[in-house]
Amino acid sequence: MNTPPQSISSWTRLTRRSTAVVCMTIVALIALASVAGPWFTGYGYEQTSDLQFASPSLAHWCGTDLHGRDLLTRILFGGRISLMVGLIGTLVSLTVGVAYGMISGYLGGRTDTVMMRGVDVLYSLPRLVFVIVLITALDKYTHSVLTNLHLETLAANTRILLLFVWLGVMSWFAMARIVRGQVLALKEQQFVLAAQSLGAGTCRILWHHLLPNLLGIIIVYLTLTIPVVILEESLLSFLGLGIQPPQSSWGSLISEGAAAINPISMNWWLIVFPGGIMALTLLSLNLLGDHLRDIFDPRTAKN
Amino acid sequence: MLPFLIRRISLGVLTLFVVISLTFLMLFLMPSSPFTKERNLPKHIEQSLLVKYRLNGTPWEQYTRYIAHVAQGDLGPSTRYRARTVNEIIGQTLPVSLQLGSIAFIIALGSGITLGSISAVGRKTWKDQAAMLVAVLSISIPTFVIAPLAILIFALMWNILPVAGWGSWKQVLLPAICLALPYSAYVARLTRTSMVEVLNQDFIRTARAKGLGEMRIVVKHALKVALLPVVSFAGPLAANLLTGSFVVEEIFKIPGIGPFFVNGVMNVDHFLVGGVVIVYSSLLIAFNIVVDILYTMLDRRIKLA
Repeated sequence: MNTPPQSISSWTRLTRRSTAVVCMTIVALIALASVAGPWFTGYGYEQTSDLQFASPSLAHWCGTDLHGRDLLTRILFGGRISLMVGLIGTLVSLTVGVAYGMISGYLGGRTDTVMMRGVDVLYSLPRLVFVIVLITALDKYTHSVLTNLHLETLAANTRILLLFVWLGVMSWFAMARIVRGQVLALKEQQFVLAAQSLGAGTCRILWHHLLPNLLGIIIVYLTLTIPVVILEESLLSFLGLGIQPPQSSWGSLISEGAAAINPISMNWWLIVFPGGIMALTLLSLNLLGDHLRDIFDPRTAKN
Repeated sequence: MLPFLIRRISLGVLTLFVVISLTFLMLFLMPSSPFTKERNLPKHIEQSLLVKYRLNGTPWEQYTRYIAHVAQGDLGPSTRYRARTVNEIIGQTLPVSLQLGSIAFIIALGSGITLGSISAVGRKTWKDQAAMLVAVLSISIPTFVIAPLAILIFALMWNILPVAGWGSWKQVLLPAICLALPYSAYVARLTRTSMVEVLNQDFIRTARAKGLGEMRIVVKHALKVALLPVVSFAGPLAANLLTGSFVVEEIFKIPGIGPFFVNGVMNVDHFLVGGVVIVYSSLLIAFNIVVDILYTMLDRRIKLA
């Protein structure tokens, strides 16, 4: 059970599944377009014009919004923020969850009971309500701290930073449970006993011996947590509590689109394009996560 | 049973205390006085306003006062809606949100369990694949995309359901379905996985050997065991439906707690925000105790600990 050959064969097994390959390609393309796209559309994301609510045309592929801004540019720019919040938020959640789960599972006994009871409690609370309150409560405070430290670029993006941190910090509970379960099983195996009898310290065993064996399950949950965090960020932005204008994220764009729907003029493109691209991203990530789970999780692989 | 209940409830009370303290800490970190935005007030007027809205004194005084008031069921005054107390606001809006939430809860569980069971019984057939595709689609399309589109189609184009509002069953239908949709998909996937596992077990083979029909096997024998993961998902499900309803209430203009909470957060209405956090947390803590009890009633092998 050494890792390198297994991970190679997992990669091959993944690329043999055509759905998984298609999903990876879609995610890669959307990410690439979001990073590079805004430079090539010919419009700035803040650039307003007189063309209010223009329907999709050759000049504006996805139409324009209330202020005559090019929707495609705004979608791609919003993609940067949505994807970045998804990725970094997930990494934060991963770090906390894996560390917590590993320590809890490895130490066992009373510590484990107390740590897991804590997770039980946190897991059942209204997380998003806490995220909302935390972000608004810390907004001004963080902003002034960052300004005092002369980190103006960071200070200008306080909201995004807080979204990274709090969406991540509030979504590690499931991860911690899964990692703990795996560690409980792994720590009884002989390679861990061997390492212990050779005098390896707790940190070394956790880092060098247990972590590599958890990589599979970590990758699966990484893929499945990113869409959840993207969804939550856009939910907050939809309510006006996340990304603040003139910056955009997929959620805030959909919110603007929903506000522009009325019986007199159905500006469908304002909601169909950002909603569609977001749904496509989430769908691809979810399907990819399912396939990865089939490959890495021995329990579902049997079926 | 009784010692379990006592332990569980005291843990719940302890959790609630921690939640209230954390809430106070968060509120304290919020931009300070809600009156700083207004034109300069004379010192003594500002002071009496602070006293009226319970924002005077040292942090420790404010904290102990808050705990004492909350313990008596008084969530404090609202600084945004100045004629009303937080208790009044929550008392009027919470029932609406709870109605919407519980209808969505029933829809999510009912449709999810049915869909998941059908999927598991017809595993690897077109029924299974179609159901699971629908499930992954509804997890991936956010509620706030589905809801405006649903309004566009059902209310504006076909004119069969009202656009928004609250009161008649027709007005409940669309928001409840939109709210339930992604969670019904989660439940379906959860049910399918555990049902597939259960259907491979020996006691199901025995039931088949007795000559029972497939329907009876699934409903009477397998479902009871297969539902355990769904029951333990009920807690997080309720939590998600409560916060998810903020979006749905916003879109369908439903007079629930959501719009008040969002407004409260934006306008730094300390006690309103705190009140919503506390009410939601205590609802969920109570709900989770009920779920734990249900869990043991479904599976007698689990000891209450």
